[in-house]
Amino acid sequence: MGKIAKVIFVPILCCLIAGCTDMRILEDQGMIQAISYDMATKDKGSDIALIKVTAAIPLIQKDNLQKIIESTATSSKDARIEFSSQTDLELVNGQLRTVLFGKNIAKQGVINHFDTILRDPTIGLRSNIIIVNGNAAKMLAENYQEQEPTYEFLDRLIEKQVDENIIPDIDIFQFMRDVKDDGIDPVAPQFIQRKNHIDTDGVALFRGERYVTKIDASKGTLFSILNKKMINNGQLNFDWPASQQGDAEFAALDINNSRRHINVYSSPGSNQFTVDISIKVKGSITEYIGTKNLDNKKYRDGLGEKMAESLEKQTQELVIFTQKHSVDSIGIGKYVRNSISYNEWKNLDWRKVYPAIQVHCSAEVEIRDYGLIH
Amino acid sequence: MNEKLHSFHLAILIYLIQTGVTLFVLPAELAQNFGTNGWVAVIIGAALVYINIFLIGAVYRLGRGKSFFAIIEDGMPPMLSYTLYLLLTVLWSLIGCITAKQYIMVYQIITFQHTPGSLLKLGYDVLIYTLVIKGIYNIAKASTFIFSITVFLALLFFYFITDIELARYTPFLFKDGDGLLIGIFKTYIAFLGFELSILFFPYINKESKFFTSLIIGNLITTVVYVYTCLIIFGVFGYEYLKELIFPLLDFLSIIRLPIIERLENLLYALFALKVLITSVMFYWAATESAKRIFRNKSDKTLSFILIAFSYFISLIPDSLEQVRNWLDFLTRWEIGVTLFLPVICIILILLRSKGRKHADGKNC
Amino acid sequence: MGFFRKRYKKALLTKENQETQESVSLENTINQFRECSDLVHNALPELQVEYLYIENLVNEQKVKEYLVEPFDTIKFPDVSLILTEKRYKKTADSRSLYKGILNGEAAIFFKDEAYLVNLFGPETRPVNESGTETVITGPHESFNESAGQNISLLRRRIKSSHLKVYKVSVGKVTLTDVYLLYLENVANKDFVEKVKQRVESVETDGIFESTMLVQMIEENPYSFFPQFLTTERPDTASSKILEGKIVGITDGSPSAFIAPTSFFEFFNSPEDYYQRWAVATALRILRYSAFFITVFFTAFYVAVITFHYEMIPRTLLSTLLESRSRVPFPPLIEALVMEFTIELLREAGARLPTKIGQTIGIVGGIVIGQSAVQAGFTSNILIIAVAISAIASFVIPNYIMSASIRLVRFGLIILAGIWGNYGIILGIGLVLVHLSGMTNLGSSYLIPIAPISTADMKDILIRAPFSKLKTRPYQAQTRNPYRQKKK
Repeated sequence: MGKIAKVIFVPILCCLIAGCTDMRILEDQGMIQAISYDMATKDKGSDIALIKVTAAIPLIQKDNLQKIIESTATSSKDARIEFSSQTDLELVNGQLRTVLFGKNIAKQGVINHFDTILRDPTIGLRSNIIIVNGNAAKMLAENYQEQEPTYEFLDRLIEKQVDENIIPDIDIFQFMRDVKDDGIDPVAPQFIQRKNHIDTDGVALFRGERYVTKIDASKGTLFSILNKKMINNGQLNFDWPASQQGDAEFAALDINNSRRHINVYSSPGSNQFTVDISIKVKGSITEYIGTKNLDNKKYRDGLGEKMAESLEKQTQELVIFTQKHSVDSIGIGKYVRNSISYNEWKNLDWRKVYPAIQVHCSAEVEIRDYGLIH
Repeated sequence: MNEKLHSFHLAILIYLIQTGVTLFVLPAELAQNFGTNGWVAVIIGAALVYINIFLIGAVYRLGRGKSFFAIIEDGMPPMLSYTLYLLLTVLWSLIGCITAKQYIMVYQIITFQHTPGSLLKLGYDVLIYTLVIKGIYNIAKASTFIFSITVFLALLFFYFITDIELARYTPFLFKDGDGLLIGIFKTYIAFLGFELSILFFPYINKESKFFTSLIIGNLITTVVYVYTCLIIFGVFGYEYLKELIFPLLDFLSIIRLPIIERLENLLYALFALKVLITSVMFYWAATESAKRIFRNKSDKTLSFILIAFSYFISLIPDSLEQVRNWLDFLTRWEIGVTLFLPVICIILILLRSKGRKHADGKNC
Repeated sequence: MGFFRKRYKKALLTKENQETQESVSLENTINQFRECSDLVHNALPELQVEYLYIENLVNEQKVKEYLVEPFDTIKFPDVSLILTEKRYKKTADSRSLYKGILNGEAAIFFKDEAYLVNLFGPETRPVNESGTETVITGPHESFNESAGQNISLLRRRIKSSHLKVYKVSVGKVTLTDVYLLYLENVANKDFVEKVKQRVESVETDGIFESTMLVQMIEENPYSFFPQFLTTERPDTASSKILEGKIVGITDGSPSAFIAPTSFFEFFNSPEDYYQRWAVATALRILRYSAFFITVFFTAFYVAVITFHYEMIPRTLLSTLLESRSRVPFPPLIEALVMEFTIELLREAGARLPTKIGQTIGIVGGIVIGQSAVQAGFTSNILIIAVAISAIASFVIPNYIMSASIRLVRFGLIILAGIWGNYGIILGIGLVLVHLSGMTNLGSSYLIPIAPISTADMKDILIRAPFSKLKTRPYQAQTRNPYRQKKK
């Protein structure tokens, strides 16, 4: 035993003598919380496209404030070198939570910038990705809440919006997975900087790694219904303007549960696919403005049908919108792939086929309750 | 050594020798080599291993529990058997050592990039030494606790149930893979370790249910592999998996609990104990075999010499790539050993019993 | 030290040899006890009787009854007739004569013969409530320093003739009586023999405590962990006897030791059996969690703050960052200083009288709780970590085990400060390897986990309802494994 004790203490002493360069003592770290990528304004006469990278790190002394460091460089790796000269802290990535991309840089593809992020083992794959409609650096640099640095505010904002299914829950790992999967195109939440707050701008749609377009924030929940197999939260608003059939009506549905099914019908040998998307929404009416009296069972049933009809129309529009831009953000490709043989799928140029396929959306709305009044 | 291995301990010991760092790499290798639904290949690998296990079981049955060394020494000229022992000693201690080295090097990707790996390895070797000298019975006892890590991990994986999407599995089997043959080979390697059970004969009795325990041990490994790979394939999708080197690390890093995040660090450290059993058992086997050559040396001295000697050898490979090449080379030999040892044992036993029958006949 | 002891032993032995050569005589006896002022020597010349006894070892009542009344007061003419009574034992051996006197017997010299009569009965502490193992429900009696009293407490609980009480004297000078109690028809004979043999072979000048004795008979004397459960409670002791284990009682010690013991028994409290099974199970889980918290919490704090900052969740980050930013020391030093302070407080509290002990508590609470943080000496999160692990360590019912665990924790904290999580796991590995190598009377210390015994799990990790606890623990290796009627 005495021998063992010696053997135990020798390495300990060795290490103490050697000193540990790997120590990452908490307060000495400049923990990058959010990092943003933008296109820099091009110098005149220069061809090289520069990017502007900024990082937000927490400031300890002044409560709840962030320090922004920025640099302009040809690549994100160059930027890091410039970063470290701007602070006395050791810059580390382990606490990175949000990656912001300016829309203009996202249009040129994001994978290059991802290389650093994915290769770095300290970066957690749960970091959020967001697209900023405008200047990401500027959005990150400004303060919106008195008690809270922007990176934290942003983080909480994303979390809340995701909970309500207004924007998709996209982190690095999910984004990369969808980039790699040939049956789906990635999406990302998109935000915009307003005068003194940050606003949800919608869902950014990518074709491969490149930003293409966005879906408006008001359609966010609708997109979630289509994109996810099942959601348990969210709100759908239905607005019927006055017409010959009836007066103007408005109803808000709080989703308890929504399920989506995708069925693919293909005729063998041809690239003709018919896709059925059926949606079943169960929810509670939280608001109803209209002339109809919900006392009446007939009207109540009618309301559900009307909602389903409207839902069908809206989802159909959404799918057509993605087809128009040739981005399979919903992931129909996965279902098509699973309905045909491997060789057929490999010979299929899904990107070309997708805009041409027939997609039929059907919806069913079940109203669980109408709140406390009729 | 009058204590015998309980069948439960025997089973989990087999399981713990088999699993190790492989679990972190396996899903990616399956995705690369088999492509879609590569996890199915684990079952094929397991089936191959079972053939091998039957061979070992046959040795036990035919030899009536006679120890492996006794079988070899009875049937082989001493020079030949000593050469064999020397080969086994070197091979097994190197495998034990390089496995540990691989573990340390992978750990250095996550943290301790600047601490010399040799120092980390030294600390680990101390642990290995303290366990090896305690003998197989105590190794088995320690492994019971280490087994609970598996249960813990298995429960943790439930975190991902919602992330699994059935459509991501694709209905295709083994499409878009690089090489089925090399894949099968690599899957088989993932199961290596069970062959050490051929040395267990003196430490077991009827109640240990040797053969059943082996089968159950291998079954646990198979289930754990299939379970892990199945979930990882469902969460990552095979195309993304192909790009990753250590998918399980990425996988664990996704877990976010209210009081703690980025569990990969802690859990990978916890795997040190799992790898420990693998290393320790190979060192133990090497010691057993070295004991037959140097009969006058004590177990402790032999273990110490083997661990110290292989420690210095382990300083040679410098990069993870090299370590992998070494391990590839060693495991190739080990596969040979795995097949060769039971077969030679069976031949020796049969020859002997034939000879004896012959002799018996003469006597009558 | 060893050398010294050996020489001492030699001296002792030679002296003893001389003693045996002496014949039984009054002069020799008086000479043997010269300068012992507590020796009472009374001579009754008309009866030719002289008697000797040690004043502080005898009971006044008995002196009156066995010596004064028959010899002094009544002056019975025929002394030899009195001495034929059973309680007067004739002794021819001078050694047993001295021993008898030292054990509280009176030596009576009549003509050339010597007789012994037992007058033993010094004042003992009454049976009190246990100071270290208190329970809320259940018997409140505890052992005291008198072995006779302790055995009586056990005898009263187990009314069986199978309960054997085997006596061994330990200590060349102290001649302490050690009693081994076991149920003859239940306890494993090998174990009984082993314990007897080990206790008998203890060679030392003296022992004063069961916890001291067990350290001389255990198999892993270098281990951090106690290997025999010690208890002050007769109910625990008698339940262990029923389980088929051996209980040792040392005269002069209020604790009994139990052999063989497994690691997990240190986490059980007798109250587990007096509570409802669900509550008891919850309590056991609480205790094992307390064990984990004690061992890992501070170490983990050090590891995370020193190496693995990425493991801190967002919600905790700013709090931790802020409180750490004012601390001038590295986390390892910070943690060690705080742990050390807590240990100081604990030790001071344990040694001081209760009234001053309270002051220590208040001073410590204020100094550590507030000033240390305000002065920027430590971070408040660490205070919480250290305090919780200290409290958790006291949840472990056995004080000796809890002290061992607290010591092991320091090792883990240092390892965590050097190698972070890897260090912690390495430390756990070492402890695990050490534990799994330990044996207790030849049976594993980690029963029922290793080797596995599923039947025992019901009463170690959880406390199943009594209807499920039909067998005696596997560790006792009893011949009579069923404690309830088989159905």
